[in-house]
Amino acid sequence: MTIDKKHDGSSFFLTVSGRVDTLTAPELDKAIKEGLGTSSALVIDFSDLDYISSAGLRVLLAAQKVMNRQGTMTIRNVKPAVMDVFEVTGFSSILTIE
Amino acid sequence: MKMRLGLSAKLIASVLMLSVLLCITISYMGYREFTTVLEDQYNRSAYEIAETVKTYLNPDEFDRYLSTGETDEEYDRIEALLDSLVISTDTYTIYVTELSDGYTTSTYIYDAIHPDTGFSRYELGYKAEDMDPQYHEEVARMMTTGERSAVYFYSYSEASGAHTTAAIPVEDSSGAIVAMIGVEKAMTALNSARLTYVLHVFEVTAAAVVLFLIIYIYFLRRSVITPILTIADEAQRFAQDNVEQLDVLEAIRSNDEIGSLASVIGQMETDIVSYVENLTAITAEKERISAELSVATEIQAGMLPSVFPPYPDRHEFDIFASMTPAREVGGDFYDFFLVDDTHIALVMADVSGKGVPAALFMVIAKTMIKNRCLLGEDPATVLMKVNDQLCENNEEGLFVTVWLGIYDISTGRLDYVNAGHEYPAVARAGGMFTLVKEKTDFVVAGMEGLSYHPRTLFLSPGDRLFLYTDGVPEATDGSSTLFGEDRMVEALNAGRGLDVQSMLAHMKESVDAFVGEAEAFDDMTMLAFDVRAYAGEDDVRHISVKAELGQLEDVLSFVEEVLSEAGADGPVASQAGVCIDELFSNIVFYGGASSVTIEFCRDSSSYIFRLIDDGRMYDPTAAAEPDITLSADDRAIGGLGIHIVRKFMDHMSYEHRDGKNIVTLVKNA
Repeated sequence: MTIDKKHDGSSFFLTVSGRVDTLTAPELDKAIKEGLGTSSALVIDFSDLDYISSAGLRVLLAAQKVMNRQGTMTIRNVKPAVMDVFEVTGFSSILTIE
Repeated sequence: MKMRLGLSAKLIASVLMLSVLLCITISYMGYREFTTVLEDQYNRSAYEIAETVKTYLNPDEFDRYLSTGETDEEYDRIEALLDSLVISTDTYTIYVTELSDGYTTSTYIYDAIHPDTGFSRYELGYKAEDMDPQYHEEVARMMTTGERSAVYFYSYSEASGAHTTAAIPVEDSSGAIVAMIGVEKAMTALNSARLTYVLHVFEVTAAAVVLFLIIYIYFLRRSVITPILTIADEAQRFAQDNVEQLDVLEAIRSNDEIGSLASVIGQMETDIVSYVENLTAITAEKERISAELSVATEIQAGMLPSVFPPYPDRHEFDIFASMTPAREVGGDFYDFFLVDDTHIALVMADVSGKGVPAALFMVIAKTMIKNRCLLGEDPATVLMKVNDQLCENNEEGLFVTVWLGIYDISTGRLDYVNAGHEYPAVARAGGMFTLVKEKTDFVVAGMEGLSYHPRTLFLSPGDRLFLYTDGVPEATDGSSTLFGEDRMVEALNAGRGLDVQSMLAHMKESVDAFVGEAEAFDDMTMLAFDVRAYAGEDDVRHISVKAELGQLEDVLSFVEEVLSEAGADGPVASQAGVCIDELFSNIVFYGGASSVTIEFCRDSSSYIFRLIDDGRMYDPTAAAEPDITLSADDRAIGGLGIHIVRKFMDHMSYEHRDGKNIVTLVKNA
């Protein structure tokens, strides 16, 4: 898994590639918590993400809870394999996916 | 012969008894009457003599004779008259006495005695006090009133024999009663006459009885005994020959009870002969049907695979099955056959009803199921199509419960469908048998357009599957108690150490011992299937790693590699990756395991993973479902991993064996 981080004003952009599994999910968690600060928008690009496990979902859920208080969270370019996970877990209805 | 003696003897004895009684009664009555008449005759004759004597006497002289004690010429003349009268009338004695002292003392005036008696007379003036005291009163009445005694004087002594006495008073010229005339007449003829009379009566009666008996016995023989014996002989003859012979019975034409007995027996013979004829015809028909049924039984038995072991060159499994029909032909059947090199189909079914209709239906159902399976269809599709076909022409309304499974020899995957059939029993390697209780589908041929739920079970080497029909748990003993599932599972476990054939034999023995003498009510069919190894075990890929999160990378690489080798496309690979990730991390976090092995193999239709770890017993299939409809803020963290596995995999099963958790995942290709 590799993570590219970019700040643009009050928006925080993340591009995650590879896979978010049980082993790598803590890294993503750390990257979001450290980089988010008081950003009012969190945008995560999953265009190169192969799959996500439940550990990754927990990270996304924690982030969503934070952003529910301080702004918006958007997920972009979700591959079918990852979308499958979102759908079977009901995450597709609580995440904003573009 | 016994009957002749019995009936004749009884009837004759009763007639004899009656005759003897009659004879005695008649003799006695005659004796009595005869005695009375004769005694009366003698008595009257004695009185006549006494009256005659009275005419001879001169009573006016009596006083003088007695007072002087002297006799005269007249006295002598009268005495001579009396003596001759005694002899001429054959009288015992004639005496004339004066009675004094209250009529107890007799003073003899005349006394004439028959010389044959040997007695001598009492002389004039002889006083005697020998009057019988019982006559005193009567004598006194007679002497005072002058009337004849109403009492019949009669006496009997050893010395003088029977005699009768007549006594009349004698009046003098002034009419005063001065003396009494006594005439004792011996009733000499009485004894001999009445003995003769009785003898005559007896002789005549006896003769009459004998005559009657002869006629009676003749009649008895002719009208009763002989016809009864004839009927008895005829009945005996009929019992031996079973041929009617009515002329003998028709000869007995009497209108009485015997006659009706004869005609009833004749009717019975006719009825029995026609009944026997019917019975013979029916029996012959039955024998014919029975012979055909036994051929049918052989054909039916021949339709079921009966050579064991059926596949001697297959070491991966062992199979044994048996069917014991309750009637000649049954509605139960089992079947097994190789669909291809790596799949074997197992069938256990029970047609509703019994006998020939059920057997015919069974043949159709069995053939259809086999043909469909050989086309390569999965069990659910097979039953769906067979159901529709059987429903087309099912006028009789028969149906069949079916358990159909197709076992993949190379992977241990058992796809099956249960259409209203009994729960299969499964024993994991080294473990006990338990019933796999799942909701069953509707029976086959019950209703058109049904679909059946496919179910999957994974069997591993050492596992054993037991299929059966309701004849096993519903076997009934003499008191209508069911054998039941509990006893069945108990018997299975008692025999699980044996090979499949011996285990079924043991099961049958258990059922037979339970049922005892009671008649088998239902067919009893059983099949045992033993898994020994996977086919092509070399094809199984595996990786063993320490139970550490750091190993996840290697594990996922292994998954990617084997799937890409197996030609799995992108989504399958990524979904399998997520699932293995979830389960592996679960094992690492919660299981306390030291190592984890991941196996992979594939069959024609699916990819199969097994995760084996030595951690604490943990069954992921029992995990609760998370609520995935809650909003982000309400969501709990956790439970999602297993949920994802359930959603992505087509099948997940768990078993704990030899201290290891084994989770099997199947993803259809």
